[in-house]
Amino acid sequence: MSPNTNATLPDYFTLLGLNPVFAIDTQALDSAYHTIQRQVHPDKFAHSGGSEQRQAAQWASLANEAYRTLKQPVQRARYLVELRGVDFNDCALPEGFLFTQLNLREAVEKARTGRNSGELTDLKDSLQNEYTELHMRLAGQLDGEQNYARAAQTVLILQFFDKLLAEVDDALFEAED
Amino acid sequence: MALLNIAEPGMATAPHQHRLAVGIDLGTTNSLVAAVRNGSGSILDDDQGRALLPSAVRYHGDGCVEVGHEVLARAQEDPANTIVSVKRFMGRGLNDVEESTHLPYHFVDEPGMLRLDTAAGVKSPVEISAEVLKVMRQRAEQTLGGELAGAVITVPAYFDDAQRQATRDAARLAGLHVLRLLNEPTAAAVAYGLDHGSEGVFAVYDLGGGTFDISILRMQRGVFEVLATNGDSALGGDDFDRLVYAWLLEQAGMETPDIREARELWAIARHAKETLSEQQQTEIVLPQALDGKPITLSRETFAALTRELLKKTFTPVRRALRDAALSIDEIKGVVLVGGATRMPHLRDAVAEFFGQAPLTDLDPDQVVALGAAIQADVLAGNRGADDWLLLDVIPLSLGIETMGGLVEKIIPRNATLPVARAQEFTTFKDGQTAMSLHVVQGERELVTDCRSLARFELRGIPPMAAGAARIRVTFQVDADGLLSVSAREQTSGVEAAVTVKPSYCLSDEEVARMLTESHAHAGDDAQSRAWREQQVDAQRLCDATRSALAEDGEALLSDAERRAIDEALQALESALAGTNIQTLKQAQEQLNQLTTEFAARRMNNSIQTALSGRSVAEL
Repeated sequence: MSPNTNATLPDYFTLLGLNPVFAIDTQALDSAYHTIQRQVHPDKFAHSGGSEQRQAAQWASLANEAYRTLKQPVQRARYLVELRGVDFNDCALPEGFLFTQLNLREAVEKARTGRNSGELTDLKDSLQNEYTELHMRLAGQLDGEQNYARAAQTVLILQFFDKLLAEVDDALFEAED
Repeated sequence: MALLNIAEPGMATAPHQHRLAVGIDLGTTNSLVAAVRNGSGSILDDDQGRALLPSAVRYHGDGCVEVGHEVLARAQEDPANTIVSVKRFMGRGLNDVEESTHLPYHFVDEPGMLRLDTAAGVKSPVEISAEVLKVMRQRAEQTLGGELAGAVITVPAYFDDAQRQATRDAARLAGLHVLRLLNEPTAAAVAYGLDHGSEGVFAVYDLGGGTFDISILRMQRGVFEVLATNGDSALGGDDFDRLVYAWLLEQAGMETPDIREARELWAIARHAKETLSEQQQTEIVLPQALDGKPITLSRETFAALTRELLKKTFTPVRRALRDAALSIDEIKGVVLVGGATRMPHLRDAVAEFFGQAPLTDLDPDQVVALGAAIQADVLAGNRGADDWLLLDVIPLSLGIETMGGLVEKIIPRNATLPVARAQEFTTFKDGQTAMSLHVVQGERELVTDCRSLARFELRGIPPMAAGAARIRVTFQVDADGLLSVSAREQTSGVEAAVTVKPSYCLSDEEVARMLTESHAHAGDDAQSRAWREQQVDAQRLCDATRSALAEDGEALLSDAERRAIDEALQALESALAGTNIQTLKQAQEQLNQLTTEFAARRMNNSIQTALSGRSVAEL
């Protein structure tokens, strides 16, 4: 099991000792991550030789990537869906979402150029409400229905929301600065 | 006289031997060295009881080099050959140094890093910094009574790859084995965290002479995790001096003083700033040339003069908090680092922003070196199972240039180190066998607004139709924040050769040349030095392999594998007893290769054991 060869690479859930589901115990995730880094971080091998140091760097990078992916819910969902064999290259946003998408874009653009922090905060709140709802729907699709094709679409919508929220956040930060 | 320690053949040297390791704060203005002695960190003073070593280097015509207090005191004698604040030039080109025309040095514009023409010849900032580090090393070896096994060198969190690379080269040149480059704020947190046994989220506010850094860290069950870091590399304590200087000029009704007057006035301004940290007001007597008029500067006036400047530090603080997804009330403590944080109105402003008084029980000038010393002790393997772990982040995003001079981010800022990311590229012409990649560091969208780190050439791509090749390029940033790149063509499995042309660094050849030169000058034989370094390296590998075999050899290796490793180990040991450096290198490489799979199994095994131990404990 060496990260050198892709075939034997453990998946992120296995590496971190977690069941491959969406609703993970985040405390268990944190604690497993720390446990692993305590074993493999290159600092543990600062006084030893070449091959151990190289292995340590590879495993520690893998653990960091696994932790970062599973920590963030949308990334975790995307990873889980891919693990179940869905290829995101074959997925697209649902057609009906296009109109919503345009409207939301417009609203964000308007609030951004206005630099009005009140308006931006309201927009952020409403986006976050929808986000939470989508998040719950995603949990159902993944852990309940196990409908990974549907879940993939929800992931794409959530990724779009992530981008919008980041833009609103940026604008809000600048308006308050 | 110490007795020679002779180990029995085939036996590792004493396993719990204490290795001498130090932490060095290589500062813009001053440098410090510290070590853990009798279980606690302490600053190592020079023979006159002084902790700080001014980072000032003077070159004489006869090739002689001086460093420290005396150099600084006599800087006016020979300003062109007295280099101060060389840290500002590390990994920098001449066009990066805005103030270069106001400095008394003879700059040489070289591609990559600038050079300085001195009485002793053309010197790179790396060589000049190495002179400071050599003094630190000598001081440590004299005080601790032995050769150093390694050192942790601190760098500003906001240092980019080129600046880190330059620092590492300087340490190498000074004959130091670098255990780690450690971010200054992280080092400070280590010093504080251990003294207080704290758990929770801390902010480290670090105002140095020329830079401002903010880091947000979480300490939890012995893990120090940097959540976010931010800063302003063009804002420092010197800017506060500059405002006082400008105010003094205004008071004296002067517009353009000559260089001498300017230097004098600058020193007066700095002194006034420092005095105000102790007193409510200070009486300033201007030099005769500026009419010798006495002026009073009060804390209130100083605070008013610098209010906007101080306010500027809180923008990076807010950005870091946002990146860490934390609010101000989640911060459990605020650590101050850097001499400039002694200013009372700064402390008030920090207290007001965070809603709590900052922690000030450790000397802000010493806290970085102390933390580095504690970490060096851990890395040298001097502590037991109770030691902790530092998880640091990359301060600036890494990206590559794409069509139209835009940047595509590969590794985002604040990603935990070490980090590896792969990206796939393809060819755009039939039969194309090479392509070049330009790696940059920074947050902006245009290549021209980011720092150019390196240009890579991928050669040896098998000729295919345009778009058919799939070249996977892996960017690996190690725990020191240093980048390396490898590439592989996926469909054929051909490893593409990567030629690194670092934009701001020294080439290996240059470092080798400098090493030879510096040893020649120190009366040291370069060859014997190289042999000794290789020997230390090989011995380290022997010891590590022996202890790995003792722990897991039985469980994880087949008989044949074990035999092969044992043979390679014996070959290395006999090479160690010999005198041929090539043989030694080959034996080392051979053992390294043979133990790679073993190391991987050990790593995997230790993860499984640790995780199962955890779940048992949790049940």
